[in-house]
Amino acid sequence: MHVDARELDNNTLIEGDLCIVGAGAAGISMALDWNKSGKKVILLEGGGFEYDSEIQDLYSGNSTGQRYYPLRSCRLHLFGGTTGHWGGMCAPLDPIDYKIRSWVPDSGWPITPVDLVPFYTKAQKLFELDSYNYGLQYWQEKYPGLTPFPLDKDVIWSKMWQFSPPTRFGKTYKETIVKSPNIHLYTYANLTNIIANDEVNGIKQLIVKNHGGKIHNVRAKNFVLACGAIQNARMLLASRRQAKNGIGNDKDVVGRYFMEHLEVKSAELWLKKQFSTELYTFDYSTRKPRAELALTEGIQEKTRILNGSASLTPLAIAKQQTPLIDVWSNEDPRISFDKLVANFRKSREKNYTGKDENNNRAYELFTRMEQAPNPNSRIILSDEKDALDVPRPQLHWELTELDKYSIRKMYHILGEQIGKAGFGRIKLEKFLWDEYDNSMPEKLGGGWHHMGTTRMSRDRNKGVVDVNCKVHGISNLFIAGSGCFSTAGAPNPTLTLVALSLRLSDYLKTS
Amino acid sequence: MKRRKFLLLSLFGLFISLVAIWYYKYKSATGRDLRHPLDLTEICDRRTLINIGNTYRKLTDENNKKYLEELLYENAGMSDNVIKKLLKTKVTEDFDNGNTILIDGWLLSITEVRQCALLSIAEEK
Repeated sequence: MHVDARELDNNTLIEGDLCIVGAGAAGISMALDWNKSGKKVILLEGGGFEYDSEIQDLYSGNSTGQRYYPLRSCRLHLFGGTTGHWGGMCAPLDPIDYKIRSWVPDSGWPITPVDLVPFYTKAQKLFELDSYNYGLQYWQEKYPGLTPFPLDKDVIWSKMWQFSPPTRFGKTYKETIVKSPNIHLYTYANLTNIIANDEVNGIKQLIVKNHGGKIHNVRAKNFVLACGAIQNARMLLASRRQAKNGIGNDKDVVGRYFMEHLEVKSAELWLKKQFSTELYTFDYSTRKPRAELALTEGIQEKTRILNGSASLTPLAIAKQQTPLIDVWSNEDPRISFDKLVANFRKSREKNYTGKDENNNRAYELFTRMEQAPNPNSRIILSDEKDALDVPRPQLHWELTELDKYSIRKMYHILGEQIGKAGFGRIKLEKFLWDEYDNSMPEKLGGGWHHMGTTRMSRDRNKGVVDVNCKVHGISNLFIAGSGCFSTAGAPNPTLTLVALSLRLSDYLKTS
Repeated sequence: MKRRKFLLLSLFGLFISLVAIWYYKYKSATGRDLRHPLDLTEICDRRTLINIGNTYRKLTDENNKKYLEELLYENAGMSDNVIKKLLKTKVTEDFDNGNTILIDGWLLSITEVRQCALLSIAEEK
């Protein structure tokens, strides 16, 4: 069932069993999991089914620290959320990502990989992926041409990725949601305040607004915030009617530990002779799985670095591409997206003729690395307010010495292993030459992956949600999405955030 | 008697010439091997190798042909094959032991960088 909240009478009371705020990857996955469950599920979406500039503007904000994409355009505010422009790259977290690592402050999840496996399997289907299998051997049986570089397996492994079509949740699941007998989708219902009970240990209701000035109240047994890591933190911080620091923020952790993936061109790989790189290069037409070069758990531990991987792109193509942080600079996500596509297209059309021998011998190595958890990297509220009178978010993206050290060290190890194997050499980008330089280059971007602002921890001083994604100290408020990540891991977060949301959904059904 | 002496002298002269030719050929071949890092030559052009050598010489005190040759030869003897094998092994061992250096962004084995340094010295002459 679908209701446009703009058409409701002012001050309508909406009631249900479960209220999910946000119809993106996390919110829609959860709602689908409750389809035909007999429970009344309220799914609130701030936007509509199509892009609306006025709605998108509610995402505007400023950022300081490490250069970042415009907050207005790095997420999408409509039904389907940011799946409307995502790339479809999927891989699960690695076992090491869940562990406490002595060299990574505040590392470790309170859950294990085993806890997520059944939900990864379900998430695969939502993204129209193959089976939940990320082992190289499995894919080699399907594609015999996938040959890894002859490198020491104790040091380097091939981390496999699968590619979603990519599934646009807004298009793919609209009909199921709208026709569902028990899912009540309200569009143009923007959360503006979370109202707690007098003891501030439970949520009484939510206030939603739209640009027409209508205000509605939403009541449910349980509430789930699924608006994305920036917006979830912003809404908790902005709900100060009963708690002066915001809901769930007694310990001043909400908004802290903002994490992104460190994505930057870092080196060139020069092969002595042509070598099959089918395993490592992305095929746009088939979107078949590919691998990235990653360091083993043992070597990460030995060298005390973060988890990351390196992808390969033919150098002739990569050299023509502008850094993503420069391409995605427009406040309008549609313009930024078009520029991104044009950036990829131009380099492929103009420069990859296949005649130049170097096309098959030289590759760009592009880093994708987790950011070390850092409480100073955070979302706070700005003094400025949006059109619905909610303070705008301000991002302070702060990186640490460990982040830079890890990237540099990863390429030294890769270079040594490739040299030892005798099939090529690595040339590092200039920003990695000076071992005493801990700054990050301006060309470093993120993956548009926002994580950690409501992180999971058993310790209320270190996290906002518990192992079940319930906000500490609030009996019926839960968070879905990558904001709950304790550490970022190396892979893109979408698959994991949906798995984690499905786990939350399962918990709510059974508890 | 005169004829016999002539023949002996001629044979001696021929022997000396052959030795000289062999030695000259050996020396130049060995020198070439020393100056040309095997793997790196297949990746970088000559100019890049010389630049790597120049940078290394500026960074270190290894700016002397004889000294560099000593470091590269070790106790390899004089055979062509031996020196090639030795250098190849040394390069692999360098990477294995972390005996590497970053020159102009290239992560290289110390041995092959010394070879580049020899090449850059030879180029100056």
